Amino acid sequence: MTTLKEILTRRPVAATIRLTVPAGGARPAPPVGPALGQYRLNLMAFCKDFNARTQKYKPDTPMSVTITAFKDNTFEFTVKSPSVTWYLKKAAGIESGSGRPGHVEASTVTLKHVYEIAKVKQSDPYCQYMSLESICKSIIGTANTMGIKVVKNLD
Amino acid sequence: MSKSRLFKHLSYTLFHHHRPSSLSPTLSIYKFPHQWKKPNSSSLLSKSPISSSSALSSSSSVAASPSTATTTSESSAYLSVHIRCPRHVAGYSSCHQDSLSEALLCFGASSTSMDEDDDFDSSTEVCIDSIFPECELVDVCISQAADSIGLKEIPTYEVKSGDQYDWVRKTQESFHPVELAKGLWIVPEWRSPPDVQATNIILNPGLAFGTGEHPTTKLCLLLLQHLIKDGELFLDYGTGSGILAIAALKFGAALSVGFDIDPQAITSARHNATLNSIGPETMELHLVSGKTCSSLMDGRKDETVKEQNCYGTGVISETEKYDVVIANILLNPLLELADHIVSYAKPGAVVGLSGIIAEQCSCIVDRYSVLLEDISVSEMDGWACVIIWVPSYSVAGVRQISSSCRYGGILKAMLLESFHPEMWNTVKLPCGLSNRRKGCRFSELTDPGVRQRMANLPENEGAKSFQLL
Repeated sequence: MTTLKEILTRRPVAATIRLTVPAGGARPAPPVGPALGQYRLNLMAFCKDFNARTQKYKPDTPMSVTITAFKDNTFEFTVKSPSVTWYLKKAAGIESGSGRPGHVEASTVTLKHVYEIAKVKQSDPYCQYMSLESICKSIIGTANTMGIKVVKNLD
Repeated sequence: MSKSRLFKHLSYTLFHHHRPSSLSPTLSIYKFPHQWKKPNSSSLLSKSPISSSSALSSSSSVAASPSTATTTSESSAYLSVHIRCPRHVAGYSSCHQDSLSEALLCFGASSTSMDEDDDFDSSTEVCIDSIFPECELVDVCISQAADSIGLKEIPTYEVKSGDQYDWVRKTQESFHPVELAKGLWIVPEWRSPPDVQATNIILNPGLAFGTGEHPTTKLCLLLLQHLIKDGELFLDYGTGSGILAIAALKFGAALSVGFDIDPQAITSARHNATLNSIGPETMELHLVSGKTCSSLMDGRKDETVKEQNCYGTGVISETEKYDVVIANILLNPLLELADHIVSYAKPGAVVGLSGIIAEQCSCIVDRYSVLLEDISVSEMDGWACVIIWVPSYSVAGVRQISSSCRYGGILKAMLLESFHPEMWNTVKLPCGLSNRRKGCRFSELTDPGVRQRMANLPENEGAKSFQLL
């Protein structure tokens, strides 16, 4: 929660930028370049910072990052783990969800996969208050909208 | 077992959601990092010349500027779309801006940004600026995004095509001359140095790393300033814009060699060298392969790998040749190339590693203490620099001295005092020295003040029994 002191010293925000960048692969080229360049942010600093912080992920996993650019050309950013849909696609081994979820099933994943994904997602800033069970339920919900069935064991 | 299935498609790393219609692999626009420079990574974006719909007719002029993977991507363009959507729709309590931008990202946008307007209370509309890669069908994407969050009509939008130069120019405007230490300035190419007498390094970083403003570059430059006295051989692993190599030459090194896996960096470094009137014989640049070290370590095949150098003719890729080796890259390459980097340092040399955040430095220290023992860490602004001293000579030529941890710590502290501690936030000392390392210590005890202080040390074991060789 923000304290009173933080509110008083808050810098004026110029913009909020959302990006998808591969882990360890931020370079001053599109997509990072134009998006940050138009607010005159220091590209190199962002790339280096982002690369250093995403070293623990496998290279080239797409990380979503939210950058808050302030009016004095400084910035802060938070890195979120890859999206649930991406994890599910990797787990199921498919490239995209099914065209008709609910009718056409694209692939299957087991409960173990869901549990592993939930554990990774728990370290995400906005998921920390949720119990593991509720994270699993939301992952299963996402899988249903993609047309991926969740089974107990692999046959 | 499930873990292996979970990660079974390791080579399959999809960066963007790729439409089936534009799968014809003709030209690739973006320069991805060359760490995985394999031709079978087919998921790189490709540009198909036919996929421009009527909504994109305004950007038809851009279609004539293809870019190949080998050029410096100067003509890579992007589409910049300005979308206006109503802030609230009756019946919904949540703001549409966030959900629309997230939906856009899912459906193919590279990035979305939302400006904070000062008078946002009065307007009922919000704007989202979004950037799409060249080949995306913007109207399809926007309509799908609007559908997915439940907007009844497609919001109005305008498409503009942007060129690489727009944002490159904008970031270049924000570079100013920086004074790193007394008498050392980093000046961008298009500005004049404020102090002509001082050591000025003139830079045009281009698209490579290294403007001198980052804490890791500052740490490395300060280290260089105190290490380079005269006539050393310097190796910069991961040279980027070449700033460290140029700085070493300005401080008095005899020869600088820079390695990098990115050809863009080599070009940029060569350009900066010319700006500072440094010729190819004093600064050599080699393009090294981005493959992991396992292939490089087999039977010393690195000699053949380095034949493919862009500039410079000398084969300064023999091991154990350099007095100072600095690698300012990232954690994972530092861990993988540990043996490789250390092999370039000759006995009595110093190896500096940076580009790591403070919490990662214990990992680096563990990895490198397998190879060498004298490791110390310094930090600035949350970034760390690990400094390793290579022993001067082998065990046979060393005087045996007993020592305690405390003694070793005092010794180290006195040596590090000569590195201007007011510039560094914290200095951590390793505990324990082995007999081998003492030989290395003594070779640096030439400063008479240090010798005097050594003689006046309190009576702990070993303090009186050192001898200079």
